[in-house]
Amino acid sequence: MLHYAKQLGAQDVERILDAGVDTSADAERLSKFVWTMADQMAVDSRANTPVMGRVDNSDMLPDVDYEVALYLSKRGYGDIWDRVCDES
Amino acid sequence: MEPILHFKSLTDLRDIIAELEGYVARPVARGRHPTLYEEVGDGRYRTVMGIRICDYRFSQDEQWVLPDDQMGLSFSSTWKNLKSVYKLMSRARGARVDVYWVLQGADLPSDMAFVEDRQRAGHYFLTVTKTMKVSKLVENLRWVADRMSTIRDAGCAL
Repeated sequence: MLHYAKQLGAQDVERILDAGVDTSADAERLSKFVWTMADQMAVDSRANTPVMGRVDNSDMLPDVDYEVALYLSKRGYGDIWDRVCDES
Repeated sequence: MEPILHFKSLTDLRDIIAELEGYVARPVARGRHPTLYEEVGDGRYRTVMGIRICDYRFSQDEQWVLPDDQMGLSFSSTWKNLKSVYKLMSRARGARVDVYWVLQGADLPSDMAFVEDRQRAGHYFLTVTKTMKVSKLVENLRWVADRMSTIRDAGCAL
């Protein structure tokens, strides 16, 4: 995620990844960024652009989903992740 | 052999999943193996013989896999758990994602078991219950894959 946050110039996400989620706004931003990252993976894949050595990194998304959902749930923001997923 | 089920929308997929009592399922990009990964040479998702080092507990020499009831290939047992993973992969893969499923109570190799994740409801690990050579785990995972059924994206936009 840090790679994509840097690639997409998402400095606020870099901060969240570094410092952790402290507010519901952080949880919302991180949740939405996961979907932005998936969209960017599609763009990179279509352009045949290797990222971290591979053109298709979509098989790491189940891990991202698992870790973000678990992390936000433990922080008390699981409902935000669920809502963002439903809306995305 | 189970027929291949097809779905045209996320609602279709949800309804099919709802009918599969006692199942565990995982989304797989079309063309990929349902239980083994393409080789990755380095990083967190590095593989050994198609098995990711982050999924199982390997011995230091990476010749053996050790039992751990909270490590293994990931599966979902609920629509809620499966949905976000499926949607994310579809976004990144242009919807070319199928769902492979098997009954939790299905015959498995005697040294493997589905175990529920203690941290996340609806998430299961396909664990090893005895120390085994990596080559044996590969054989086991191929065995499981051969017994999985497919719910195939019919190609319509979600």
